[in-house]
Amino acid sequence: MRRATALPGLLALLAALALAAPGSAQEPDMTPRVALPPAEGEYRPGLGVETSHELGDPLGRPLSGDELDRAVAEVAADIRCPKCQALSIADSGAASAQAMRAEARSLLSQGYTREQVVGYFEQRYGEFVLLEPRARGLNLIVWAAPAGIVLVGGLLVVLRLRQRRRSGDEGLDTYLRQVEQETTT
Amino acid sequence: MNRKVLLVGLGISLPLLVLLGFGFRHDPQIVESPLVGKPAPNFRLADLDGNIVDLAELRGRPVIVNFWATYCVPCWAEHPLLLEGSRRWQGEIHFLGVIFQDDPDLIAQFTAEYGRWGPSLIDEGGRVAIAYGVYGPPETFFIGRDGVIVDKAIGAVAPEQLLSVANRMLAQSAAATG
Repeated sequence: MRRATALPGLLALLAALALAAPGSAQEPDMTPRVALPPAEGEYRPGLGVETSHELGDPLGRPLSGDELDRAVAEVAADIRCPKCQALSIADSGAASAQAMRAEARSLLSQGYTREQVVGYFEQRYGEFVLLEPRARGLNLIVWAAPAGIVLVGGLLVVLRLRQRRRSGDEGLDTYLRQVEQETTT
Repeated sequence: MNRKVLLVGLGISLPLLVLLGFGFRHDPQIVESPLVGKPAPNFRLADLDGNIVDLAELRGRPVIVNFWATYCVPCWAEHPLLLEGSRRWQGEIHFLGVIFQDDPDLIAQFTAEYGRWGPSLIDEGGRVAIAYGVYGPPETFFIGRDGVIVDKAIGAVAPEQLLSVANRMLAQSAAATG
């Protein structure tokens, strides 16, 4: 009985929610059809973003072929994929990672150095984009903490062992004294 | 002995608790943008009708740049707010959408059905998204009349933030022109 009275209310609520949803009338296809980044040299001329004034002049020489592939792989291994959890853009198949690899390739082929390219990504996304945080400021905690923990842990173990040895000796002395007393009396 | 253990325990656990407390105060999904307070990267992109939009040419008026996609649910949620904002500040603030890894046909279909708050620009290769350090849609950049990024919203932009930042940008405009 109770269920029967609740049902129309529930249906009305669902209907109201469906009507309130922005895509309720005719939902567009929600399947992401992601346009992959165009291959090198396929960008429409004159369109895009100005990066030159932010990067300055290229400090290296333009790379190509295997050398370019190696340099792209090196840069990509150091950059975090913004859409993934702890994956580099080298290891990720996400469209963002592909776009960033394409951007790195484009910049390296123009003569920007590895440091300039990594610095460019860091300028845009912040230090979070670096898989290995720079050893400075608060980051030093991350670098020093493992060594510190091992050191403190080792120290505690040594102290504990010494303490145990000392208390062990004391225990033996007491026992021997007791045996001596009992045998002499 | 017990006091020593307590002290060592506190010495180890207290800094960890402080660190955790500090960490819990921040949403791990939100990464502060290093671009706020810096000049917005200039871009020149085509919209769905082939018209070219050059950000540099819009200087002198505040610009709101929103990276969005049809597969992104928060983008749907903020759509009515951006529509309302674009109507409210028509002629005062430019609203620009940059398509984030989505099919332009789906964007056209969506805007035809639910309204259009500004041109949707095609970002070939996602280079503009990289230049703006976009992690994922929606992200909104508020650019002052001098071309400097005033603020950034991650996720669906909140009405309070839109209102306060828009008013701040307009006040800057008025102060600079008046």
